[in-house]
Amino acid sequence: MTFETTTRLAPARPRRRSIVPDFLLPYGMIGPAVFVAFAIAIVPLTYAFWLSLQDWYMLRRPTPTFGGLINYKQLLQDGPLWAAFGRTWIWTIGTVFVELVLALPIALLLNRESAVARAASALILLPWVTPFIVLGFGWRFLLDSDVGPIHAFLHAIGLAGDSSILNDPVGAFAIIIFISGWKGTPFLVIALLAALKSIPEELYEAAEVDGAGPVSRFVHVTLPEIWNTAITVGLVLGILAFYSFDLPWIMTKGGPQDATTIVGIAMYKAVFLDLRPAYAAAISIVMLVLLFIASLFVLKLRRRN
Amino acid sequence: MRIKALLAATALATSVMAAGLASTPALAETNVTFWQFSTRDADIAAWNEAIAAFEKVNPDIKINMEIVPWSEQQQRLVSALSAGGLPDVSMLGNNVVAQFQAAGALAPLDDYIAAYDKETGTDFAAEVWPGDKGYYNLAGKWWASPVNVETRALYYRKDLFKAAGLDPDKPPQTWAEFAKDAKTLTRDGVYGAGLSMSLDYFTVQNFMSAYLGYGARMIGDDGKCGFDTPEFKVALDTYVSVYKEKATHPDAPTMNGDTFRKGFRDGKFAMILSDPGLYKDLQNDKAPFLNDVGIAFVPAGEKNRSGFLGGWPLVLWDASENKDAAAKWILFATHGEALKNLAMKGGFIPGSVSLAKGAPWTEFPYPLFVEQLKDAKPYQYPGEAIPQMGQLEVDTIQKAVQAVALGQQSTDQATAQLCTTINEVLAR
Repeated sequence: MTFETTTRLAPARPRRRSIVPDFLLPYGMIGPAVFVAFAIAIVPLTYAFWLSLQDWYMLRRPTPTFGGLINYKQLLQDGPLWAAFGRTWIWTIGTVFVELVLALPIALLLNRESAVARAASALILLPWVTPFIVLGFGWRFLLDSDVGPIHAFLHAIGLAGDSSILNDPVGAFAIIIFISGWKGTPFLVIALLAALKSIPEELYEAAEVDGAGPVSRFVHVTLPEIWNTAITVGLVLGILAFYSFDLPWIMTKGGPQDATTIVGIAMYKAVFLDLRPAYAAAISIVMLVLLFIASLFVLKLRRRN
Repeated sequence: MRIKALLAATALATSVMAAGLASTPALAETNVTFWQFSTRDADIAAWNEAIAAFEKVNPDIKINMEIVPWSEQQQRLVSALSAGGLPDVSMLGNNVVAQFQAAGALAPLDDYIAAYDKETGTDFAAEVWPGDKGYYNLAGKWWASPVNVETRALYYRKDLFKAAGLDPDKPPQTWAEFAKDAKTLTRDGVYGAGLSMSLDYFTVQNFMSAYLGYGARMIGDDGKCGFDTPEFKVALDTYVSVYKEKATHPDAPTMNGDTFRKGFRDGKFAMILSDPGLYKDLQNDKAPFLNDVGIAFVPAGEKNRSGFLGGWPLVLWDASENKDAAAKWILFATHGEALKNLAMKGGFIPGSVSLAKGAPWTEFPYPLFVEQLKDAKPYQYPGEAIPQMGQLEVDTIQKAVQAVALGQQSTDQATAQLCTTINEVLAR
């Protein structure tokens, strides 16, 4: 007995000649994205690197001329600039630390299904969306030694004397780091809240069955589940902090003396006061390299965990 | 049929347009971009009036005014200088004219001024205040035409003088008396003086009266820092003593000029050095103590009386492709009725000597300020304007004042540090 195959293959449709060969199609599809990325990242970066190799002090030389590594040599000998780099690391780490310390308990509090938590989730964004100029002047008022309520509090606990804490080099740096962290906290709260809500309830139930108390559940369930989010968002916030300029400039203009001068301020002064755009470009390239190394280190830490 | 109709309509439209164009005289319009730095409504309205008046007599030139706030102007100008996009004309702080001139960014105005003087029978050079000449006439050429000139005088509260046992008709004449009176006047929640010690322009604008008054000079004959002298140190000590004796606000090392000014208007300070505009503000505020406000010359040092010399001119940018039209606008706006109107609306003293000596600047409080302009000097007096002034005034002198006020450095240390920094900047 033989079976006759009755299934007939449908007649193949004639292939339409495509305008772009198939092997080029993926490139065509990612092309626009690559073009945009190139335009907004690679071109300015290349320009900055090119500029950093120019000898261009506008008061002496109206147009740039090739200067090789002249700016990098000057940069290596610029003591105040390296001090500013040191402050920038303290500023960056301090800002992220404040953000973590404030954001974690707030996110835990807001991770509840209640009307208050929902309203607070929206309100918590206020510092994040408020412009630096408004925050800066607001905090200056709060720290004013005549009328500032926060000054009164700091004075009462012995952290501020008769004058504003902004007059004190260490106090000014510490308080501006705190304000910087406070401003960034909402972003981290929202990210942590999303991570908290994605933790399966079963994990807590299983931990409870195993006899874990609230602290143990937090340490062994919650923390490991939100760790990746905290590190990743912390890295983003750290990068933002590293490039800061607005807040310390508005609050203290980098003073008293150079106590709050971070690299963003040093770079601003190099361009707009000293008229040395090429030197500022060299600073930005060094910033980029240092930040790249630090980011790789943090990402490696995340993978290890 | 339809095609024929369409063609006929097109032909008709074309002939109508051609006829219209033929009957209208060709009007080649030159556009001049003008960056104006004031954001005050009254100033903007006054500038619009000046532009309208100019365009009326120059219908072939159109002035496009763009508002660039003072707080952003340096960034905008430097960015445009390095990347392109400079205007044809802009305002400029008098202290940075030399900076942009040295950078080769400005165009000289001499030829245009000569033509203007010939046409109107004026003498441009004679109209410029003596102190301003040092700022605007560099290397033998004119690079700017003044709009405004500013100096500071001593505002003091006669009622508070009386309450503190001081003679209300005898305001302090010297910096030493100023410091002493400030201490006496500090009582009942009022500070004797609104004197800045911070990294703000208000500090150097006040302190320069002290150091020049004591005979100190920024740049010595050898072209290097001239501050390392006993005269400068005495001036610094005297100035800072107002803070150390608690005769000004405790936050003075971090407060800005606007806050001090507001403080005087609110009755928190018994004395302040300020411009004529403060009196206008007090009038607008209907300040209860307005009738008790006295105005006197800025205190003198041991050698002379030196007032702050501020102001801003209009400049012609070398990148301009419409220099003739732009220069015409500059000279129109900085002379005659146009300038008078701008100054009256803005409440400032005009940069033209003859205008400032006439009405309405003959009415209180202007005559005292106009009189003091004779003693107003640039920061680097008696030296010539230097291109690095923009850097020096912000990052060196104010730091020295702040460091001594906060006790972070002694007067000797701060002076040595100041001179090291000034010499580094000058040697670049």
